[in-house]
Amino acid sequence: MSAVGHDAHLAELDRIWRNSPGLVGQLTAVNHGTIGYRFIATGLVFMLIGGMLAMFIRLQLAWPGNEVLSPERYNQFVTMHGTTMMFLFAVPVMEGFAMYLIPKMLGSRDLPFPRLSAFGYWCYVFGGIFLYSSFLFDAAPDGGWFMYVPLTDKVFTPGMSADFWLIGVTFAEIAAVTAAVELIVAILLTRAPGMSIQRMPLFAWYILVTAFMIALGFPPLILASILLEVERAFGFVFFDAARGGDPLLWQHLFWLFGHPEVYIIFLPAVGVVAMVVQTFARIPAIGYTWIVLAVLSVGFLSFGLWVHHMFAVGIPLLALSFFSAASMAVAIPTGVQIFAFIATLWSGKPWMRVPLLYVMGFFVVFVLGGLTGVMLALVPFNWQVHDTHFVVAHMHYVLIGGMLFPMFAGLYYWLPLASGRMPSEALSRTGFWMVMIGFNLTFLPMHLTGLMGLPRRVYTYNPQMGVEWLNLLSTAAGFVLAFGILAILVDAGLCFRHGRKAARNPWQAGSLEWAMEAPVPMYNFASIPVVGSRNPLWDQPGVAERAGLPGGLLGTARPEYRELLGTGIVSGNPEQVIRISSSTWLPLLGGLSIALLLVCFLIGQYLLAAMMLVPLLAVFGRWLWTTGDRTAAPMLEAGPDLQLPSQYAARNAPGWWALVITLLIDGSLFASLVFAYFYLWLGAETWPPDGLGGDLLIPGVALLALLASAVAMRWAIAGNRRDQPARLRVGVLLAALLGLGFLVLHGWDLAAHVAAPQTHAYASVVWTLAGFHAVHAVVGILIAGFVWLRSLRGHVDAVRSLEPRILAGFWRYVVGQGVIAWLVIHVFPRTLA
Amino acid sequence: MTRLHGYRLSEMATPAVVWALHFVAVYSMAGLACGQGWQRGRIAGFEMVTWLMITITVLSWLLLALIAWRAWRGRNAQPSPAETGAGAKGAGHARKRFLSTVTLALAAIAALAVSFTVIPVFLLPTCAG
Repeated sequence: MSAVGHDAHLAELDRIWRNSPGLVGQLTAVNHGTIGYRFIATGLVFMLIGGMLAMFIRLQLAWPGNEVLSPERYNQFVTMHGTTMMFLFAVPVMEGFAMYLIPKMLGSRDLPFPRLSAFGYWCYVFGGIFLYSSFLFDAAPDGGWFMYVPLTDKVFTPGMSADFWLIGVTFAEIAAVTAAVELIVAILLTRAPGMSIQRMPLFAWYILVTAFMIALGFPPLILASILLEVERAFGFVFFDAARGGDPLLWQHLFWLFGHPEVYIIFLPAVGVVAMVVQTFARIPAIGYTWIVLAVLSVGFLSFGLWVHHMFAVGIPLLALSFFSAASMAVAIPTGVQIFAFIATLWSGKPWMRVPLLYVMGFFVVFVLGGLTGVMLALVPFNWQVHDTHFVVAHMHYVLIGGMLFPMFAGLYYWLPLASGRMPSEALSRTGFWMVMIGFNLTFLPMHLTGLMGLPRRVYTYNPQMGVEWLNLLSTAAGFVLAFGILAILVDAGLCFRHGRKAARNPWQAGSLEWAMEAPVPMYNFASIPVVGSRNPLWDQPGVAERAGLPGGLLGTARPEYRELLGTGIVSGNPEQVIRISSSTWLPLLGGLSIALLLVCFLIGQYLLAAMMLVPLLAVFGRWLWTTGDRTAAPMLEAGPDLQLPSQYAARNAPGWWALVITLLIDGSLFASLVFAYFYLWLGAETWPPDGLGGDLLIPGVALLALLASAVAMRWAIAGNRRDQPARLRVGVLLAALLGLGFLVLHGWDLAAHVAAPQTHAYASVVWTLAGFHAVHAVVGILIAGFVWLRSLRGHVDAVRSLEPRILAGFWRYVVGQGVIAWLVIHVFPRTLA
Repeated sequence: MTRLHGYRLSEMATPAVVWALHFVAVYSMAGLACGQGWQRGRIAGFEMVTWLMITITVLSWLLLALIAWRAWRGRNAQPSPAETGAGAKGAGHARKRFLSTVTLALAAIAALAVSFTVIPVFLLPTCAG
């Protein structure tokens, strides 16, 4: 290709990848760079809001008997501070880093589902606004960020404040769950060719494990929120002990999410540390395999910790000991990572620039927090300091040390890539020391006040406790910390305008994102680089220059579509060309229709809320119909002399893996519900309370219909494989009808034999289990209708079989879930008799 | 392709899954015993539920040993003819070695965690508290 040809090709690439101009462009953008920026910027805004609430809390506690905040206001601010920092700042900001960096680091042009990440962003923003709008109606949540029942049930929290929390947080959580799907598929399928699994940058490992943790860890809270909202709105019983519920069920579900959540925040931040350490030590990480091992271990072990938040609720000691053991054990793989980083710095030639300075801060602060964590894992010590400021000190050391310091390290590290300019060394060092000193003087004294008995979450304290000077110190230092954070944000903002121009790869890093020249082109790479080592920029001279020119992979054909290269999960060998969607209004419309639905629900207009399903389904129907490029040929040009299948004809299609991960998430949601069923049974005297009515005849026939639908679906899919579209369509409709038959028969039987859900926890959980499955069956029927239509229009056939495969996979899951729910509802109580 | 000469990415996580299942099993048994009085009869000095916990622990150890043995074999296997040589072929062997090393070490950690979890079973009565 001539130089002119090059320029024309690059201009064409830019035209296809860039957002539309103006406000419309901003509202319709889906590019990972744009969405990543937004998550980070919005997250930082929420950090400032949450931080402002914290300053009010500190002012109130500065001296005993202060009246800065009324007790009610104080409860609201404590609740919203925790909620904001966890759900609206820490998780979304790290997602933003991952969304911005993962494609660039892996040598890809974008994430595989750009509309999904844009949709996640709108859900996050609307959820955050929803939550904060509660202040306008003087109904700000005040039950603590953990929302314990019975304090938050309808009796003790009438009004809408708890509903604002439950609905708003669940809304914002959609972003975390969609990001999990997006990032797992991106990491598994869109790495540069040659980047086999053992050459993946460590940051990608951390994000992969985190995303799986989100997939398994968020559903318990989503379920708990749904159950509590249903209890509040419709009088179901899950947590009300008088009618067979159990308030501890809430705590189990909440912390089943809440503890992994800490690691969901922490692990991506350590991933940042891993990248910064390698670059500034100037050598590849020592113990790469050990670090991967440690991340995997932490990912798993962190799910065995949740009860350590419940040591004081009266669970038998043996059970507590299991959790105590796991809580101590998790320190070991965490320590392995820290030692690996220290070893890397030790063996290299550390270059003490600001990002590394923050990493040093991370070491000091986080290790201190980790050590008090081991103390808190010990049951007797935990009882002594439970619900005191000792715990406040511990968690801020862990979260600020484990997340905020690495985040600032990352901010300064990648600032030259995002802005094309270097941050000011003097200003940024000042910010660091203000944060470091301010933070330690704020929270170190809290260890003492906690040991002296100062309780958490209480708006004032007795002067006789002798903690007023320590509290005053905490408050004063808190302002130093706050100004330090402001200074850092101002510094980062100024850098975009006034920083000195950065050269390409100013830190001389080894990972692929630095192959790009700043400002980074919207398409990232003109040709997808081929990778032969863990640090391609160190080991493969010329790789950066080649990636900036067309002519290589995805750089030969005239650009017509946004295209990604799909590679093998383990091997990283090229397998498919993935055509993705460009700018569209659909994500915004999808977010808006959910927002409207939830507002209607919040104000008790349930019929209106149900009617809002119509625009919602219309938007998502349109979304599905226009995903990617439905007219793509089965084979596409992927590079010089390389033809690859389009995703519609590829075995490892991103859509297929998105289904797998989505079902993992949904399976976790379902498992949490089944757990709730058995947990309620465990505490019940008799189960069901009024004995079991009816027999297994009608439920048995219903089950047969469900199983028959699975057979029909298999028959339909086999028809598609043999290129018999008529058989596909008939089979799909037959399966849908049989599924509908199951729903009618089963619903009829339950209505005849199970009491109204408001009477007892048994009836509530049975109806919820059946209803949960019914929703899935209805979604399955809708997908069946979609595939029927696609087949009719000729978009699917034996080669382009992705959509029928997805339908079949989902249907198998629906049938499997139905069988389990059926066994739990109909067989388990009979085994008790 | 997910499969790589008989080695899947998901296999890497199996030791940790064994730990998780063991953890859920012993915790559920303790819950059943204390909530519903399940298996509280004594046999040879221990309650039946304790014996069950011990059994499930031994089973987990065996399972982890099996996983470790498989990984060990995978790690030390000679490269097959398809994997020798330069470039993509040699890389296949390196990948397999990496995955099996991680699996092996994870099995060791999981065995340690399983043992650590079960220690209190011998130190505390089932439903003390």
